[in-house]
Amino acid sequence: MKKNKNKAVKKSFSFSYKKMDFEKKTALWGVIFLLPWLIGLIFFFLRPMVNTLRYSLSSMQLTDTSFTGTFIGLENFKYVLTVNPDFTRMLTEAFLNMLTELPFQIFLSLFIAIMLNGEYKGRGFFRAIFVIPIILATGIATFNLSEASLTTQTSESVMNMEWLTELVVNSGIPQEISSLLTSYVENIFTVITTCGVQILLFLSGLQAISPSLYEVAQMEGCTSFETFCKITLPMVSPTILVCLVYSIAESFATAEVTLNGKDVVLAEYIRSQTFQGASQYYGYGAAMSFVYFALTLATIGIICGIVSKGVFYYD
Amino acid sequence: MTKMSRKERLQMAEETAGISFWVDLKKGRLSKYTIQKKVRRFLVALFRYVILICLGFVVITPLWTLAKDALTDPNVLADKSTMWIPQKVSTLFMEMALSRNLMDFWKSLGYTMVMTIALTFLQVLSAGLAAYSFARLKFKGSNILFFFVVLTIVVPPDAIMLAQYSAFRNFDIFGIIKAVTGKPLNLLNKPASQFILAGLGMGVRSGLYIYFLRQGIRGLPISVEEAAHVDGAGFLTTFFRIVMPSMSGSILTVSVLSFLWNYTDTYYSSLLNPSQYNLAYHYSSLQSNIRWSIDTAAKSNSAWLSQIDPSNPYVQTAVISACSLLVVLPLIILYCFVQKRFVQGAARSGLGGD
Repeated sequence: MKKNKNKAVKKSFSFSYKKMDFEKKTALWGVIFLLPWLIGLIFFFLRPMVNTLRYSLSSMQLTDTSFTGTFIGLENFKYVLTVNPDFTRMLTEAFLNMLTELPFQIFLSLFIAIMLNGEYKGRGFFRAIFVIPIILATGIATFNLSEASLTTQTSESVMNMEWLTELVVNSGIPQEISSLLTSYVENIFTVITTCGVQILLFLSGLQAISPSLYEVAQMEGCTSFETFCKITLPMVSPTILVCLVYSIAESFATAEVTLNGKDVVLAEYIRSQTFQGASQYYGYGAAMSFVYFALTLATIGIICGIVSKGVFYYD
Repeated sequence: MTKMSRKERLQMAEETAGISFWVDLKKGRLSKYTIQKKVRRFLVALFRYVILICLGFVVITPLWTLAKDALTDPNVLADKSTMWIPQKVSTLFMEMALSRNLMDFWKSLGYTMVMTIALTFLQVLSAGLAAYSFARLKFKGSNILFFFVVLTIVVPPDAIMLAQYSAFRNFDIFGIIKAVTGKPLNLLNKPASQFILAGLGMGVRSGLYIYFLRQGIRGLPISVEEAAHVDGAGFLTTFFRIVMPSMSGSILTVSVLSFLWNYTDTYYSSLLNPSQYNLAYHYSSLQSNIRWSIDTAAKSNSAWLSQIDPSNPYVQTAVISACSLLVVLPLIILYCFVQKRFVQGAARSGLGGD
């Protein structure tokens, strides 16, 4: 079907197509290549998005046959940002958690990917193991039965990290930094679970580096550190950008925040607020979603704007 | 070669330099540089294994506990004295999970595999086309459109669930379908809708694939494509014959991710194609009525009925663990085969001037 469409477009342009200069042809084919995605974007993404935006600007009523709303302007947003006592606080908390986790996540996944890359015995086994976090992060292996679990100890207590925590605390590092470090160590399970995708992306990025570059570096007598800074880092920098975007989006989507002393997932809180019964809450929920999108996008814009200055491309 | 004793081998090594590192070291035949290099290489390898084994242990623990729960004998379920290996191993729970009343595993696996492979193919193809357009075939506004790729990564599908639901319920393209058939198209509960979404680049996390592939294409030297154009290759030829093959590593990564996420996806499958043969969807719906399912399964087999009690929470956990393990295992086994193809990319520097 896609092929026919391309042909049809080509035909209608065939009169002038041969006379087009290369730049115009490139632009034309750019549109053709993008067409499937563009159609999908408009009908299955933008339209629902615009509808959600409309909900957020109106007070919704659900009647027997239809779902209608009356326009009330920014009332929902005002309610969400100023009246609701929890939402802005939870959002800030999610944001700060993300900021502290992000560098560690990127560093750790690049580090593990470098360790996994290369020639060594048991490579296949270790690579196969590190796909497990991706599978587990989808939630397919987690289940909540209200009754008891078989496992006697949770995985956290399998590795007792207290000695390490004490070591860091007593080592004379400023308290802010040491508490950050210990929180990383304590959360190593969760952090690694969130790193699975990034490890895979980095691994692929590392393998795309031409071995001849390393050969040259070795001939010229670079140290390993120089090789890392001058070859590995620039060559994986495009992947770092992708990983940043993914990490930020994922971190917000799975953010756990405290509400009344309990840990709740932010996205689930929004959902529970949206569907708490009366149809007027659809508007509140939609407004919350939009505040959350805006914050995520702004974060990605700022962080990636800074990082992309140092990204190396061939073109 | 004739067999030699250890002593003879050592003697021979002593006579010829460069056979054994230790012998050479003892005889002082090695330069300082060689020793340094050897020691450094050994330390790097040691460091690598220590890190990988420690982190590997962290990663494998949850799966191991799952397997342990699933393979425990029903009579020692409540026994908490062992942590890693069940006191008595039995495949009873696995057999139950395989049976028709619980997962109906083999039939479901076939159906899920076919669906997932088709979805993965469509998704990677559409993402690749879009990525190439964003990376190389720039036109006015393509940078602005790229913003929407990031937006699709940021917005989780269930955040716009309500609007998306009604978009699928009453699908229409500018009123054309309504004009022809009299009512808008209902895309809910149809497997074809999943294919449409994947083919149009809006499947499970398609945005991430587009972004990743675009970055990969931008990392390719443009000279190869230019050469192809000069030699008269069209854009489609360039894409399928030059760009796709030299991107094989990234394509493989994206395919793996797409496969994993399509296989485990429950959001789109429950909305568009709630088939009982879809493993992940079936597994997630099984959790809510696990007791009843175990009950019916046990009644179909008297050997099971005598050994287990469906109302026992331990039994329920074990059965769910077994089901969960069955869903996860095919993915890991498949990945073991695929990961061999993750190798250092073919050197792309065959061109002069690079």
